[in-house]
Amino acid sequence: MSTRAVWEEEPTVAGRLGKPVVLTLIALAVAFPLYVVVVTSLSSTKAVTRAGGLVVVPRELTVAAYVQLLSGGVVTRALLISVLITAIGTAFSLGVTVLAAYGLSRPGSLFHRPLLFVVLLTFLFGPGIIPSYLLVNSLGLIDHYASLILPAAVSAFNLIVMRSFFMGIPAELIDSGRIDGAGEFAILRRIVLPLSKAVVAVVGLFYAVGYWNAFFNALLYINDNNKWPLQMVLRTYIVQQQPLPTGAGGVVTGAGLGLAPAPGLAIKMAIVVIAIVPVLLVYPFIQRHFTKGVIIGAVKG
Amino acid sequence: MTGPVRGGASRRTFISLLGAGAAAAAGGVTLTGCSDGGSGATTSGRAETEDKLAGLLPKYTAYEPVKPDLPGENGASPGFSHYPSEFKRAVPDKAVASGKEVSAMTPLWSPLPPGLGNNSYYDANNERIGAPVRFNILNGNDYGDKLGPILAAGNVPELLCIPGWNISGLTRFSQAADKLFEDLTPHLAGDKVSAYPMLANLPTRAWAYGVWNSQLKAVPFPSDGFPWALFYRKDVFDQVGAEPPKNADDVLALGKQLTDAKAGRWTFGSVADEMARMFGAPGGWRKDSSGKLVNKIETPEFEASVAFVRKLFQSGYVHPEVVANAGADENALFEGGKLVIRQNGLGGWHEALQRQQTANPAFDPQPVTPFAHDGGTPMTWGGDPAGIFTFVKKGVGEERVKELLGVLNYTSAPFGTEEYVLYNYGVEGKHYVKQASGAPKLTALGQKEVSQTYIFLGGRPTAITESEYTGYVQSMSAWQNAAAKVREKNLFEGIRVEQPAKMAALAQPFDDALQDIFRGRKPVSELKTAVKQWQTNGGNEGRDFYAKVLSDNGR
Repeated sequence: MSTRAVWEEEPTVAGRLGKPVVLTLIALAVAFPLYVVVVTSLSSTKAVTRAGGLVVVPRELTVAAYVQLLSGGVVTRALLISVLITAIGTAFSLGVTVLAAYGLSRPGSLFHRPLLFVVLLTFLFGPGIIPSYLLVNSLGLIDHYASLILPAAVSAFNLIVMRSFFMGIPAELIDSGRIDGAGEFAILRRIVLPLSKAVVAVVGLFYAVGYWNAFFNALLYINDNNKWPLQMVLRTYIVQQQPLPTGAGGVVTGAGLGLAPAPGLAIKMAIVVIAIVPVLLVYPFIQRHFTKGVIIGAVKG
Repeated sequence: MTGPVRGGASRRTFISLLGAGAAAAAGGVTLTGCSDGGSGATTSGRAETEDKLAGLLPKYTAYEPVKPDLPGENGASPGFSHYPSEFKRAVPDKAVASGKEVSAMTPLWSPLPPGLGNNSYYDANNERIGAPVRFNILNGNDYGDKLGPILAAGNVPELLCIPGWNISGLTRFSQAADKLFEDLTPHLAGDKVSAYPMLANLPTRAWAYGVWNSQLKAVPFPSDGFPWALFYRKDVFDQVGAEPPKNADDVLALGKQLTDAKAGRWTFGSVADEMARMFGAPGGWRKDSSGKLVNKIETPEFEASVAFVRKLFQSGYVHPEVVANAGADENALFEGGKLVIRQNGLGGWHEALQRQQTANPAFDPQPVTPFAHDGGTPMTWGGDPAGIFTFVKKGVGEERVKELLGVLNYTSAPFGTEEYVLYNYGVEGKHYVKQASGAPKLTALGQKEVSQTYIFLGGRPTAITESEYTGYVQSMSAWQNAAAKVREKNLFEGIRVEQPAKMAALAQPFDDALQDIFRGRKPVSELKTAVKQWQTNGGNEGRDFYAKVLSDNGR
């Protein structure tokens, strides 16, 4: 109530009642699909068949889908790989991006205009799949974990957001540091970074989600299935229930062989749950920085 | 219209695989969304002909460890109504004498199994092969994405499986094939194949598809070539006293009889291709009276089928989820009885039986015997005699090529052999146990470790073998024989035609227009516009290409 300005009228009864209703509906619109996903992932074949697809009313709950996914060691191993790639990749990307953004944010640093131009250019032109592959191949990174991090280590967008943020830091602060005898690294570490927690958190989240969701680099560069990250392994479950092309003649899928006792849809939904849980866990801690960081980037861009 | 989905687009890409496979031989656009995915592809289309290949092809020597009791006529697959009690050992010696690890890349349409070193099923097979086979498995839907780069970089494994439907998306594939893959002619042509009896057992028509640049380049994976069947829920039909349709009027009547929105049941899922076939549209191209090639979508029969399918939609006989989303998961809807007639690939049949085996034993899908819209003589569509190919890396040395062909010989052992059971199910008592029917049933360990990896190397003659589902083999054999008998004469019989990429890319926009017409978002007259666009944007070029293929072959 206290947020209402004094000259505003009391809200009407309809308004007062309407607000929670509308908000509840919006919340439901967000929560309901998640609920269906979770319930379906916990349903038996029978329940999925009876519902003819996604299950709304829980019946015959079972964790068979999760057991099938997480037993066997393949998924758990991939999970570990994904976590490590995400952690190391995010740290590496953040480090590189902070350094580059700081350098590019100081007017007068060496070649900063041409370098900035090169970065901006990548907004317009992607390298294409085959050239990227040829590059990674000739660097000898095929089948190397580094091929999951290096090609996507710096995102031009994140770099620009961070650079804009750094440019918004008053020059006087930096000058005062310099008077006290700080070098560029000390300024970055003691003055700029402590003032930029919001943007670092946001950019870090962008990178982390990117690494977590990425599968295409692994698809291209990792031949050894033992080195696959989680998303690649989960994808193999998604296609399990798909019939093969007719050209395949007598081939049967895993389902036809009797490889899939748990229902396909339940497995798929369990995959959705496994894939989004880590992001959901991290998000609340960064959320408060989120709008701030993004808006600053946007306005000052 | 098969398959659950990650997203409409991916499903389309996947279905396009169906399309490209069937269309390559039939030479037409498949209307289910045959987009090629490979937007950057510049394949201009290619063709290789069986007649000219006589000197290249391996001599056929049948190897029959068990006699089929239901013979397949006219190209239908033979049926085995029971599992043999004993399996023949077909490959007595180890294939890889040197014991050197074999690298292989194959697609997979099932979960990733534990890798080499943690997988006793691999070990059992590799023991027989004589060397570990290190698989680089890739999810079948993403397979084409990786083929382009590795071919461009020349970074290929010793054995590379390439599905035919991926080839039309690959730029200048025949050039890459020349540079990267071994010419197998000196090893397999004529009598030379006798060193590999399982490969000699593959049909000659399939081998003809393994020829590129007048060289035998690949071991084919034979296919029965039937693109679709119309399936109905016999158990539901029996309950309400309905009969499978025999003409177009029956189809409409079933729509009325079986649709019961209150009970949550509609009659149809996707049926458009089967309806086009029912009206007598060709699977790909046909010649009109003046000798000009006419594509399926340009025929009056096709137009009639579009109007008919639209009527099914407009009458409310199609399940709303399918109306809302052409890529809806029809497996779940069909198996749940929410819709009772749909088209599907033949392979979907026993997979559905497998899924519902315990959950719903009454579940009884059956294929409708092919029929024509007017109740007259029906016609069915054909397809490729082989859809998937295994290539051998070039420059590995004479001896190594022999070893690698030995691996393919092992993985090509047919139904009834020890090897077939071993590479499909693993070791008896360990990875699988025999059911009362004699059918293998995977144990918990088998479910964890066994996967369809070896079968994507080489190929084996098609066969109907899943006798654990009562009546399945008999019914499938009857359907295939009926369908094969009335299979349309394919203008391109024996010619492997790689569809020009430009033409393949037209299929998606055309299918989108078609789906809109079905759903009443566009009038039927829009079909003419869509066909016109198809013609001017590359369809006519495609026609010239295909006409040239025919005239080059004197047809």
